[in-house]
Amino acid sequence: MFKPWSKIQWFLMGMGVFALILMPSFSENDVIRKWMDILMIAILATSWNFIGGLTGYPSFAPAAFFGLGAYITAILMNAGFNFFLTLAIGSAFGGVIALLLGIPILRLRGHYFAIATFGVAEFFREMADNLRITGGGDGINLPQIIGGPDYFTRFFYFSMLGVAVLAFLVQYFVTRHRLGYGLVAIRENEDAAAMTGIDTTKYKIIAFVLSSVFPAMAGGVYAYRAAFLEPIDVFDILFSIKAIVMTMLGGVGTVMGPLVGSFLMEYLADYLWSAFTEFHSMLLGIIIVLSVLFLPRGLMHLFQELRLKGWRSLGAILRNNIQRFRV
Amino acid sequence: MIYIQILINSILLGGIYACIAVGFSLVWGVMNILNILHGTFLMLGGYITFWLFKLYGVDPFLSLPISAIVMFAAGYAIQRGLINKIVRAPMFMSLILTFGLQMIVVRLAIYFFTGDFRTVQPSYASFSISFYGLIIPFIRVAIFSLGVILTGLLFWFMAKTRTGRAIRATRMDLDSAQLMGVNIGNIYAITYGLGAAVAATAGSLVSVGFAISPVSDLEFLSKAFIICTIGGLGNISGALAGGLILGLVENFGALYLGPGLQNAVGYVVLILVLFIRPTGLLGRKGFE
Repeated sequence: MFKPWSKIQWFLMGMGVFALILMPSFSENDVIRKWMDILMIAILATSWNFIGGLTGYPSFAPAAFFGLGAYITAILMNAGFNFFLTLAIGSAFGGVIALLLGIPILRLRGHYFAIATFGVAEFFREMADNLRITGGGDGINLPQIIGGPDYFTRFFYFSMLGVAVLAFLVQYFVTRHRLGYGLVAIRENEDAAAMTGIDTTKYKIIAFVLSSVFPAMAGGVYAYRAAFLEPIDVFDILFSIKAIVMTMLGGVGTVMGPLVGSFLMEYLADYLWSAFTEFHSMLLGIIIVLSVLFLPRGLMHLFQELRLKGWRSLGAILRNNIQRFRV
Repeated sequence: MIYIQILINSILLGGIYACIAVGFSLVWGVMNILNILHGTFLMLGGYITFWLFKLYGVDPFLSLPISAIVMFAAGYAIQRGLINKIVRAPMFMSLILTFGLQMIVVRLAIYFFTGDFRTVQPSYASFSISFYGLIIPFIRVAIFSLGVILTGLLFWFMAKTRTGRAIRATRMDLDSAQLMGVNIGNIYAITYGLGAAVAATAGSLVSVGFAISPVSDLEFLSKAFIICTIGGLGNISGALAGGLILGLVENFGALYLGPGLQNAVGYVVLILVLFIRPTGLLGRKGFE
């Protein structure tokens, strides 16, 4: 199912990353900032894919771990820690929390799991709103980065890019490993997977931990860049939603899906919606509705089908998609 | 004395909570849809009551049937036209679809209604009964009783009418119900419309005692999440029990831990119940 990539595919991917590395040398700061946002969403989407896409557990937790990582970086940097060290500590802490939460939560299935993760994210936000160490509802300041805007825009861009590449590579190797196959088996039929000897609890917890460490890292970068955190900003459930939507648009359970989804959507958004800033969220809603109805299995599946059947059958495929799951 | 007062407040609040959650529980139980639009229906019901009161001076309690009918029609159309198309897909597809619709509706609501907080203030808003130092606001009692009556009506509908029986049959076994001649597409749409109507009525009630705004829908939704999970799916008494428990937990949480942590306590109880008894306190097996 997950074939190892050919040399050409790796070459193309390498070219893509290379282009992203070169891009800041000849781009304006706000273009770089835009790509930083794209990368951030791509990290969240890729991470969600571990638990939601491969394992089939619809999680709302990305926002929880994103916020957790952001606050850990904020608190530790105020205590004088190095930025990169705080990222490592934040993601490790996120992983441990995911492990501890995962043991009970992952016994739940379906909507109950979704609600539990939603509850976790909201609970974290309520705590950040009320604890003294997080500054409560007033928010928390971070040390300002030293250097001009040219420097720090690139600094944060490359930090985000690093996390994104890391998340992608981990996802690639997981899907080509026993673990990835085990997770897909759990998604398809958990009881049958357990029968064939897969330690489902262990696998699910690993997937949940993997889906938590990268958002925590991205949250840390986001925090340093924003220089000021409020609970409502970083524990925003919209981060989880975006991660889910981008993955679904791209293709659930594929390695490239989350990347394709977030790049396409965020980039499209930037150009299309600058005319309708006031209705930004409404257009996002319309895209969600249309893609659920017409692309229930994502763009990657559409591409595969088109490659098999030819471009002419696009209309038929879309019509078939909307008929597939109706009552 | 303060404990008795808080107990009374909790029960009154719990009745409203039950009313908020019962439509959500119905839609989830019958179609396995986590309906993100539920809070939005509440919000819209509240606005119907608000505008009828503000523009035409209609008494808020008289506008209940109007918001119920309007939102039943809206819910029926949404299920028939959109959700029915993907109802057999993996379950989070319907979740995401309703989320997309929620974003559209809320954005439009902000555009048309502005983001201001609104509340309906009829002339009798401040009446209250007091004895032995206990204060019982008249309007809360009215909301509570109507909420309970509404829940009871739904219970009666599900138990006694032909359509209610068809809904229950569909929940138990989709394919058999279809073989028995139940028109699934129609029954699903009616169920969803009922959920929307009950939600809208609850929203109308809420708009009398509490402030609403276009973005308060997620607050209602998270309450519905918690209540249904605590109480359990599959029966209406679950929503009642969950609502009362959440009312008690929140009010006593506010008393002991301070009002800031009131909501956090609700989430703690949610997660605890999920750990201990994932089907909810009154949930029945096979209905999850």
